[in-house]
Amino acid sequence: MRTLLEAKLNTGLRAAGQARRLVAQLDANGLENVKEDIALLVSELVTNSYRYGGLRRDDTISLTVSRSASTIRVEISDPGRGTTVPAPRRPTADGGWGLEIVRRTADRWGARKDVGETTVWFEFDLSERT
Amino acid sequence: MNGPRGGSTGGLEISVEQPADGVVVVAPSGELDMSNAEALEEAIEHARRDAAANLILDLRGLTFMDSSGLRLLLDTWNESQLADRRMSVCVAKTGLVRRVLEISGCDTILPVVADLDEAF
Repeated sequence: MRTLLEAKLNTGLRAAGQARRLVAQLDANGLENVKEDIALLVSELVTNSYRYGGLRRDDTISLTVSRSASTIRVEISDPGRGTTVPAPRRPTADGGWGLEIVRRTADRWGARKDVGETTVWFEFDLSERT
Repeated sequence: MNGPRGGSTGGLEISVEQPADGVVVVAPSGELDMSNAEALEEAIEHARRDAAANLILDLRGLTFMDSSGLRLLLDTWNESQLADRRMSVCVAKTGLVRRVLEISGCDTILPVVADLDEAF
């Protein structure tokens, strides 16, 4: 896997838009069919970090995008003080849609929680979609 | 720019029109996400307060919407039903907004139309 993008975003209400703009600048070569979905899922995960990560004002959210010939992988990490591994729940009008949209859209996804870091990742297969 | 309650519209333009008696069309354009969902929510609440029997949310000008928008649509729909008021969501047949509604299954819950005329 080759890293295409590594960025740290200031936490805040504008973080999701910043993340989408970074993803929009990726070289579209081979990504034409997934770029819009990647922007959507990145927006969902950065929003979740902001809403549920318990972040402090000076915390940052990390965005990493890497790819091989057949796969593109995106990871979003935050120094989350949430106590649980992120998991989709039954969505309601109050929320819970973010991870559910990731689950339904990505080819693979996962979450892990280490000390001082919560990470959610997703992947799209590129060959299937070209 | 900050609104009356300090909510930024964050790049979202919101137009509110009353094309007929009792009908209000709220049309946001740009990218709808957590940075501006609250501003749109306020615009909808104001439009409602002006006694609109029929609320039309015209989302055809949105170039992006994530689940922050979805939450707002579901909230507004729930409130409309409780108040026994009409509401429609106008969304283009293709594009990201339609896709988000389909992925989430909300296209079967919300009163979605593709053509503004169907909402009157």
